[in-house]
Amino acid sequence: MTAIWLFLYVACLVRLLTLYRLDLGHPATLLLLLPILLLPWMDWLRRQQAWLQNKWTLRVAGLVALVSVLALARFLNLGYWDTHHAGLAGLAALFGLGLSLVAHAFPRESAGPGLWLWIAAWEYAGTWHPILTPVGAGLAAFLGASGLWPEGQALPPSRRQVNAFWAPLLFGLVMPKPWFDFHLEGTWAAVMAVGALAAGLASLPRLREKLDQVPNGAILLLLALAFVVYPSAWVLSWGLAVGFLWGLLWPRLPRPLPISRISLGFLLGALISFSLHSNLGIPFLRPLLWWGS
Amino acid sequence: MKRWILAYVCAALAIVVVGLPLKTRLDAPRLGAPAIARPGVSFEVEFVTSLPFLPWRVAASAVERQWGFQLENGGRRIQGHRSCGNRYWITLADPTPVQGVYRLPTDGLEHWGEGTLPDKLTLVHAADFPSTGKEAMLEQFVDEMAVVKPQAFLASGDLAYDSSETWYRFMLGQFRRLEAMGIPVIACPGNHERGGWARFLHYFGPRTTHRVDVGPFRILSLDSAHGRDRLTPSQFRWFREQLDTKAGRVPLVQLHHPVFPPGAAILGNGEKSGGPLYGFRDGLVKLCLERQVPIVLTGHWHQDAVFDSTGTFRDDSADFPGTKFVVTTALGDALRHVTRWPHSYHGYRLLRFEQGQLVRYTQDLPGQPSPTPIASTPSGTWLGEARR
Repeated sequence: MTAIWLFLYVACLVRLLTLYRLDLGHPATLLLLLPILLLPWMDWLRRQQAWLQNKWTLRVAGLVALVSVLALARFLNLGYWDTHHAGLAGLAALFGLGLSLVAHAFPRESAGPGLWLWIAAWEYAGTWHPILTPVGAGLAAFLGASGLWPEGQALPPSRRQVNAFWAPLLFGLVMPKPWFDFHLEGTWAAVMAVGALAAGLASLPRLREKLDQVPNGAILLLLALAFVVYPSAWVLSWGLAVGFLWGLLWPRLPRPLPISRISLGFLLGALISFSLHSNLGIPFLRPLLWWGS
Repeated sequence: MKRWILAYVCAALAIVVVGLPLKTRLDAPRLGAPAIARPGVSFEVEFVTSLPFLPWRVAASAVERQWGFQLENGGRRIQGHRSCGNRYWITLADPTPVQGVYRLPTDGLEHWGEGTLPDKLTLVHAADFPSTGKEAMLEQFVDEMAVVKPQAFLASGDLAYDSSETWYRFMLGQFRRLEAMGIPVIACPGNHERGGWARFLHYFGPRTTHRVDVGPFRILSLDSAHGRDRLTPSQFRWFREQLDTKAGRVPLVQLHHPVFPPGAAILGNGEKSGGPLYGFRDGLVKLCLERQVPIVLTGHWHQDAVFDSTGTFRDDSADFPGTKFVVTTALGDALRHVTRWPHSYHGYRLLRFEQGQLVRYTQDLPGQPSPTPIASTPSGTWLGEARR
């Protein structure tokens, strides 16, 4: 459930908030960010409050995640998100908290491309309207908590390992580029879908065997290069490459997957990326931001 | 495998639950980006539906029902259609001859029929609108437009310092007044629209970068607050494509942020309002020169300024070769002193064209040479003359 949490919730929340702006002085913001703010304490909270790991608690959490995301999507579909709206922020918080509980209870990921196909399908739904993407996360949380989520063979960890904070941070730095480029256009969602498909491709067993030989440094270097070289006219190819690189890194993250570290790394990367792309005012960096376009 | 099937069946159901009852969002043409078409010339209506992959006739009926217009109305007929996912484009054309300059929209669809435009055309440009408490300034401006009678009004952002519903309703009411006078409104967002972005998009639609063809002009509106004072690669590519396919029209450009910084012309610290366009500035200037864009209209500084294509502040002459990069003072928000230009007042800019050629873009001020460089038209100038 970690990849679903990361792609269909965290990434989606950041994308929507960079689009509609986050007013840090407004109380609704605290509500919106509650699931993220609680992230560093989730493991501790789950240890202290054993009932949070109870089967029925998780089922309720999954149901709450699904119902609240459906309500949010029904309200926002085709529309625009007023981030000051307390009701919408409350629904988003309920959805995030429910999903967070379920994702922390089931951090394991299966081998094979099924998971990435699911993510790709919901990212593609984002081309219709961005609020449809997190519906995939709510549904997965409900199915996962109800024991109906397709659990395959556990993904065997790679011999090589990458840092669970810095690798997602780099990914968070690179992946949002199309969000800032295409703004309200659905193209960014298509890029995310293509990226998820490429990650699924990299997880195919035979291909993985060979690609496991590629050193971490080479993959991280290529990912960093994708931050600088961004051909806007060829953005789907760019998304394919970035997704494939992430697909190579995914099995190299430590097991069990540390959701909080991965999420916070990705969030920090996305935050830096947003600051850079929204005119931080560093003259020598400016030409590098859209190099290749 | 069975569980994946279950998951995807649930996914399809979830999409249906979210999408029902069927609703639509009209993306183009909208207030601020109307479709202005000569008789027989086609234009596109673009909309999205809350459920994807619907037959186009079902989608078209839904958009007609929700928005209260008929796609085929009067002489307007459907020429073609295409769709992708939940997005639909329906091509329409109306061969009915137009009496006068325009046939105004009558049924809620922002479709203006274009008749015979005079050889001498006037466009009006303004930015940085008044806000709550200064409603009378905007009303007076609209009254003045009844005297000036421009063929179009270009609004280059910062239309809503107050993002409340009340302000938007008032402002839209004034725009509707302009339309009723036969003046189409062509608008782009500024940085202050980001404060209530959802509301701006609700009223003006999601096409914040758009093209409107009027008479001999191709008016290209850009969204420079998109990446905070910068264009982005996809927007710049769109801009280049529009200039490459201008079909003999004279391209005019509007965006909120001034293209050039005040440079040596800055007065003190420029009241911290000297922010220009950062991303893709060089590319934009080069394209404007190559494609012979006569004028690029901007706001944001709340004071008039004019630059040539080298970024030199032109307070020496109103007449110089190449593209004029113009900053127009605030229509109603607080005035500032960004450059050494000594005049500061609320106003708008009159653009006079003869046979598509820009002949005048400044206003003569009392005691100044004629033509006065840089100066826009002070608010009330034409209303005062009409009253006299």
